[in-house]
Amino acid sequence: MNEKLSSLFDNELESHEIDELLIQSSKQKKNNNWSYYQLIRDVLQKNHLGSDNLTKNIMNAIEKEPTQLGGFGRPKDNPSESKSNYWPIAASFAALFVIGLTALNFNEFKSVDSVVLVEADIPTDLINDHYASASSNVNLFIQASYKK
Amino acid sequence: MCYRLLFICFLFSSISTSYSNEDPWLIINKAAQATKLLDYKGVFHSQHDEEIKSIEITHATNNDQEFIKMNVLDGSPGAVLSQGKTIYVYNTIEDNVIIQKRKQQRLFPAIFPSNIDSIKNFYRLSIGKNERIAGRLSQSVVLSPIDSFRYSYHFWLDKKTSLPLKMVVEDHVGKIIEQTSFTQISMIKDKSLDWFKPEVDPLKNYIFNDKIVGQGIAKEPFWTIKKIPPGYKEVDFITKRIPGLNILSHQLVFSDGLSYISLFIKPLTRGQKPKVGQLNLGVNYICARYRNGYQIMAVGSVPLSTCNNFSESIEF
Repeated sequence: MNEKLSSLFDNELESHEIDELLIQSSKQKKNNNWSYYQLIRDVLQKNHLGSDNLTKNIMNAIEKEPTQLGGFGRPKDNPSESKSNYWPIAASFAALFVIGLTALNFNEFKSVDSVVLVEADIPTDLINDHYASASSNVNLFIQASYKK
Repeated sequence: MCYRLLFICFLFSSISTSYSNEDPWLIINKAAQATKLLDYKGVFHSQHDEEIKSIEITHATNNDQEFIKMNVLDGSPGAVLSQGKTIYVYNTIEDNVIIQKRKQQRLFPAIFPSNIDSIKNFYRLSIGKNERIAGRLSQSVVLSPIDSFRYSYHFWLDKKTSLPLKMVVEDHVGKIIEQTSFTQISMIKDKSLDWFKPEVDPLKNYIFNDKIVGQGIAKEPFWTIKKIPPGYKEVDFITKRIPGLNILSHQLVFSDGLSYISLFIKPLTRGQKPKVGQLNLGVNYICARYRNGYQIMAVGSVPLSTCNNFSESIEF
């Protein structure tokens, strides 16, 4: 599933696969993964429009985290163990990086101001789609040729 | 002789009593049946929004299946061929004829639902006077809404066959929203279906859109609908993928048996600003709300209160 989501954002899926994937993702409520993949895609493709203060914000977020990095033992005594002990740090940084990016992305999304609906905002498709389902003889004939 | 007169008087009074005791809604039932069972041909004028069309209609029932052909008589040529549950619409746009397969809809004069119980609870029926429509004597019938969530419907039903000859939809201040009226109509006795075919113009390009308009991806709702106006039920659901954006747009259609409203749920794309508010576009109200990253829009020829109610009904 995750692999397919990734392929979707890399434009590597066929049309029928996209439909199937979109249904599956809605069903499994993968909304969180969805936004991560979108975000990763945007960053990789250098399309991310996030804040310039990304690093600063991440560092601030790290600073606010309680320091719980004790218990590393003695690296020299047991090199293999010490190597594995760095994984929690790496994982924490990775998690913070994703959380930071997501938070920024989320804030950016949330802060979008709504605008008052005006006639120019109404897509022709919206009216046509309604007419395609609502009963009216005239609608049948204006559906294909409706112009606002 | 005296006994005979008394018997006739008794018979007449019993008929009158039985007529007056008859359920007034039977008149609507009869009209609904007439639209399905009668074979007829006629021309009606239909006005919706700023569009006015003259349409020729031929209707026949053969082996319990309905056959309908409609031709637009003015403006750009157009035709509808309906057999059973499928409708084919032929719309001429310049040198092209676009053929679309559509879902069955209730079209004039067959505008009543098969089960009228749904409208009985939300409309008051009153019988008006007799009037002539398309040269035929008709009975005027008004369906007035019991609340502010729907418009009123005026019908003129043929006295002889109960077929609806005219329909007017009015808002609460009497402004006409939609009206359709036969200008000529006659019953046909010929059972032949030779007329049931499209008129082909060899000079035009015929473009067949084999996807049924209104048929979409399977329903997978991730929302809940709360507190919609009473009497409205979901009658259709359409999901479309928006080309290029890889997002799904959902359309839910609700009806109380006569009125229709669509509710659109579409995720906002990056950089798109959510729209909020309401506006009146011709006979349609459009109400926009924003919820959890989704743009919600309600569209329909319904009162503003209904439109707002639907746009606020979605929760994630």
